[in-house]
Amino acid sequence: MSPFYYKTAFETLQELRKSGERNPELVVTLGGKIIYEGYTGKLGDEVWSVYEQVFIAALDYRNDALAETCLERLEKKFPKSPRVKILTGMKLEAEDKLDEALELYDEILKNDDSNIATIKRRIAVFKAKGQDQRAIEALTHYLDAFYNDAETWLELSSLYLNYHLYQQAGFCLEELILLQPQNHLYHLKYAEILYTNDNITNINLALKEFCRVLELCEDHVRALYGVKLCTSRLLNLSSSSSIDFKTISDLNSLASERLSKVYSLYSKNKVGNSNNELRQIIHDWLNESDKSY
Amino acid sequence: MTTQNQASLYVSEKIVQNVKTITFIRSSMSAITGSAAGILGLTGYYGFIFYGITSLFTSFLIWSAKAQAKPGLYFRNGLDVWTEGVFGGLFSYVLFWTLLYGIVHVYD
Amino acid sequence: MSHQVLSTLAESQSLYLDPAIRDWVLIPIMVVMVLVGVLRDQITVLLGGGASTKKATLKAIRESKVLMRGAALRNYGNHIPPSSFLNRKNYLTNAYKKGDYLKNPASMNQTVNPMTDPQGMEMMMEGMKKNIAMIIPQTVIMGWINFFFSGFVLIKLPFPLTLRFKSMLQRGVETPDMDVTWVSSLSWYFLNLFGLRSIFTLLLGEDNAADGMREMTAMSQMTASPTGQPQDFHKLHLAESENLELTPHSWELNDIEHRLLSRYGKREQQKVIDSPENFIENNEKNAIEATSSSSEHKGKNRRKSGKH
Repeated sequence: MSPFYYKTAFETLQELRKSGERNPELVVTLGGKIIYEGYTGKLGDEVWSVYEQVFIAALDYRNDALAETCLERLEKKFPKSPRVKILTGMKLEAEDKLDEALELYDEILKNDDSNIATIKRRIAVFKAKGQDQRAIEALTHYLDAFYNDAETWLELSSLYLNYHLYQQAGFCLEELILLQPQNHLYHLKYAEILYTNDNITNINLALKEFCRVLELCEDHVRALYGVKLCTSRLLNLSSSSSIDFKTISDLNSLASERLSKVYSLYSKNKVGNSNNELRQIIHDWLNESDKSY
Repeated sequence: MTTQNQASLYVSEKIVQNVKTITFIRSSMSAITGSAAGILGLTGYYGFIFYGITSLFTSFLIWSAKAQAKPGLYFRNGLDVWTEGVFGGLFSYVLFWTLLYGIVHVYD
Repeated sequence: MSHQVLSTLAESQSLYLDPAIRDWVLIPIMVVMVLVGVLRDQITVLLGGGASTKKATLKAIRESKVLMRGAALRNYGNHIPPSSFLNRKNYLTNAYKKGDYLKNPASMNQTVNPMTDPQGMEMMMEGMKKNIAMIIPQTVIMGWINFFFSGFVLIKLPFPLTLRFKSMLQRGVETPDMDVTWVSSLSWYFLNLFGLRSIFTLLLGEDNAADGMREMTAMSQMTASPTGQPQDFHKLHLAESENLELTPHSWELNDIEHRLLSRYGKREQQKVIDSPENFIENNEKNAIEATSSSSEHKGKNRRKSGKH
């Protein structure tokens, strides 16, 4: 049997913990080996984080025995810790005992109502139960206090989008832009929400936002398509827009030009018929849309 | 670029980390150069001039080797590379200067 | 312990000091101060992790974070559309004025009395405990030095000082003739106090508790404003709302279409000047674009730059 390189295993697990990547299969394999073959002694103080990590991965992977083992050892070491209670709650969630999990979380919050992890788990339970309304309420309540939590704003916006509440989703994206103004992805998402929520002001705004993405990230293909769609929409609507006709058509031709550049460069790098087909389709579409003016 | 645009380009945690690096470099250098000044037996103004020269040299090293001649990438104001932490280093410099001077020159 | 041989040179007096002073005073004082500093830091870590750090309630966190929210709006508000900015500005200024975000809205107009507010009381106790823990080792060491190591000069400072310092630096040895550069052990203590701060930062990492200076300044601040401890958030909120009201909004995306088009050479730089600096900046930017743009655009840009 080949020796188990536990040092590399420890490092891999540490890397995964740092990056937050969710790779349950790898973690369960490595973690199971470490725990069942007794390498935990070599970890020192890190062992408790590893237990937590392996526990969550085991829940993902439905390896209940491994999860039980980890939870037992954690409970023995930290008997009254809220963090371990949350893990117990997660196990209840995995076993579909959602109401019990909710009770557990509420109990933790009674003692310490600013425990972020508990609040987030509670929201997850509401989502799992399908009680999106309560989830949205809980999210808003949390964000009222912790306004700078970007991933939570994204979560709230995706919930709103599920219910086609475009204006509210746009609000969330504006908050995100306030948090990270140079992040072109937030501008992109905002622009797409605006375009979907179709009225004349929004399309104008969407056009500006797509231009912003292009300013921040040159030749962003999704944004180029966005510019094309917005400009064609504005030209078709032909009602008074705040931007003059010449600018709109200039932007339109600029977008077409950049798109054809990008795709010609793209197909230069790759070989094969499928890419030529793609290029052809794009060219046809671009020519079609240009012809209509 | 407007000032708001400019300000949001910098991630504040990274700037804090960069300042920490510079402080670390300066305190180590102050200790070493202070000891050097003490051993060399510099007194009075020569000692402070020596500190000025070495801290200038340290700034130059930071500017060229660490910031690769582009301090604007690492700090809001590129000139911070030359001035940050100089006063704090002065005290350690004086301490080590006195210590080594005393050990080497006063005591036999 | 020491024989004093005064040289005839008037320039610098040189004294012969017994090497035993160096071994038994100079080095030990320094070593003791370093060790005590490290000890203090470790003890603070031990104490800090105890039950004294009571977790703040959600309302308290909310109260303090909302200030940052106002600041973020002020700092980066130009990146969102004017209507959104106005919405948020109005909402926040109203919320600040009405005290929506305060922990206990009832106490809005009363001056916060640290005696009655339990959390404020705790915070003050914390601060006082920490300060006392810091000041005690310093006073102990000073007393120890005064007791054991007084009555002789310890070291010669390499730099000259004025006569005024003579009485302070030569505490135990009152001679009228000796240079100010010869100092007693107490001044060596002070020298170490200042000089070892950066060494502590080196050894113990940032934010260490071995730094006596910070506590001294904190102490002096506390005695100056005794009610300063539990911060009055209502006042802070009102200040922030005033700041917000004064903030203008100049939208980043106002002329972004022209910016984008001119970047690709489709547009001459618009002469619509909103501010002289922007104009100059834009012109410079155009010049840079002209010289460094890709080869496909060089033709277009060269033509355009000829016109400038």
